[in-house]
Amino acid sequence: MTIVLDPALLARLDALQQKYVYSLDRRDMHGWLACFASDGRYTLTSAENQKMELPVGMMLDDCYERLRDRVKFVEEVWNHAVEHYQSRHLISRDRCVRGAGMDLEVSTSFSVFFTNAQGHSSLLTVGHYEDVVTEQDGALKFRSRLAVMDTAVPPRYIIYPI
Amino acid sequence: MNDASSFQAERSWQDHTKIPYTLYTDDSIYRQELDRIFHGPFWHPVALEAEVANVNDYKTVTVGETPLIVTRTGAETFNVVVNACAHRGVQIATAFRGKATDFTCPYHAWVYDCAGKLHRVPGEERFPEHFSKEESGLKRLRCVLWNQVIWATFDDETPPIEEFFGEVTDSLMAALGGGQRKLKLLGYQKIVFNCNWKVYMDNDGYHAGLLHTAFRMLGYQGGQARITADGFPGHWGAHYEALRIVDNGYLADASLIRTEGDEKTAAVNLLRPVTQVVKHLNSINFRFGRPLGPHRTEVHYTYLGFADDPPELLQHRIRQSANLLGPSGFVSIEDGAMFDRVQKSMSAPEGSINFYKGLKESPDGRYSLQNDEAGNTPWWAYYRSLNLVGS
Repeated sequence: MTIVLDPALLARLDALQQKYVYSLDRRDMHGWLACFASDGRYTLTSAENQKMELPVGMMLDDCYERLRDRVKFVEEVWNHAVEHYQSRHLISRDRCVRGAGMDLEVSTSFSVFFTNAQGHSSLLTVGHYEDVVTEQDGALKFRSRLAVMDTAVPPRYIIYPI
Repeated sequence: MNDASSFQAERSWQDHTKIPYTLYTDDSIYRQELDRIFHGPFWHPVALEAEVANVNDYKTVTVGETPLIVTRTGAETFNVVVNACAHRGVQIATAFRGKATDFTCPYHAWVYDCAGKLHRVPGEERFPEHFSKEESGLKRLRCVLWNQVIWATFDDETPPIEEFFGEVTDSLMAALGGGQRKLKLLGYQKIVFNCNWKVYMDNDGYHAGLLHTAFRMLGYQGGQARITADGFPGHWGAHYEALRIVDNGYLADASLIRTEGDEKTAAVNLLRPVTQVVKHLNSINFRFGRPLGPHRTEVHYTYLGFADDPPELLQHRIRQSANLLGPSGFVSIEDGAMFDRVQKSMSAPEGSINFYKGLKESPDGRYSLQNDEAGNTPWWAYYRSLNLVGS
């Protein structure tokens, strides 16, 4: 396991991370989907579940079909009833290593704020990502993005992925 | 609404199908509910047996606003104590779940066993004569293991548990596998709904085919099962042969809505004061609730499978549980959205929550249909009998 120090590679990794949060904070679910590899998966859970090794968390998209369905949930299914919020992701990469294969293993802290329709802002969740990033068709993509919330009890229901 | 008009609304409240908003917003009403309901003659679920699977496993939980520790002390024996040292009230256990053979208060090192009995008191020789170690244990609650759930009550007058649930027992047992198969813990989804705990519990069957876009897109309109309301506080439950949802191609991964194996039944239960137990498709979900003041409710969606599930079915349950019926679920995110939106309107003067559908055929709400809201009204008849009045 080697710590990645190559500035060019880290810049490409940061570009992927930025595309991810740029898309979510503009509610561009297709932009979010485009961050994943064709065998990509996304999981949102709590640190509490993770420590207890419990597999059911808040969201579990363990195949590309489920990632596609999540785009539909947000864009088509839930639109008429949920109270949308403006999300704002602040992220900070704290580790990037190359494992035995070619994939990168990356850890990144996040804090996500939400602002409701009345303009009131609060912290939605804080935690970290555990990612596996791969090269596909000349671009870096998430093979796996696991978002682990330190926040066991978010202050409102979560609509969009973190 | 000012205090005077709030007082008026509650004093003049006669119709238990038309509930004044102030009963959902008033702080003094909430304080009376803690005393009369949460500390009253009710059985509260405090842990699933699967959450404290081994001897000396414990779980902390809050009923009303009282923190508790639930400990397994033997194969089928459990203890429920108030999580506060008898000396200065320090919280004894801080973890959500853990393992302990005894509990030591960190402040003055008083040591209790898992049954709450006080064993060691440093410096006891200099305590006054009237101090009694026997009388200074952690406060214990009466508890019972029933249907793989540990239930506790603060009140000596609480009726036996099967009498408490009455005819709702059948659908409750059906939701948890009928009592024949051992349940296995799969994970938690915890959330705060920004609504009064009674708004969360007012959820009905009427809305299912109307609110939930997911059902409409899948061409599913639910069933016509019978809802039974019973027990003195008006629990309700429905247990029915669920129609299988036919894959119409809308979802790329239709396993989310597929029922695997021979599990044909669905069961929904609202247990007073603030518990819901639901089985839909292959997802089994026990929802522990607690009020956080009059305006917020915390719910722990606790997902279960069976210990003897074959690996493929277990994996299917996990995948379905995470995405279908939780606070961010494909179908049920809209329930939480409605809870929050109801509460936001409740500061409007002289408003009320109204129940209509199904009362034509079932004026007492005892037996109604799945897509009705009449089954919610026996609870409100009980609640009205408490005569709570705001200050």
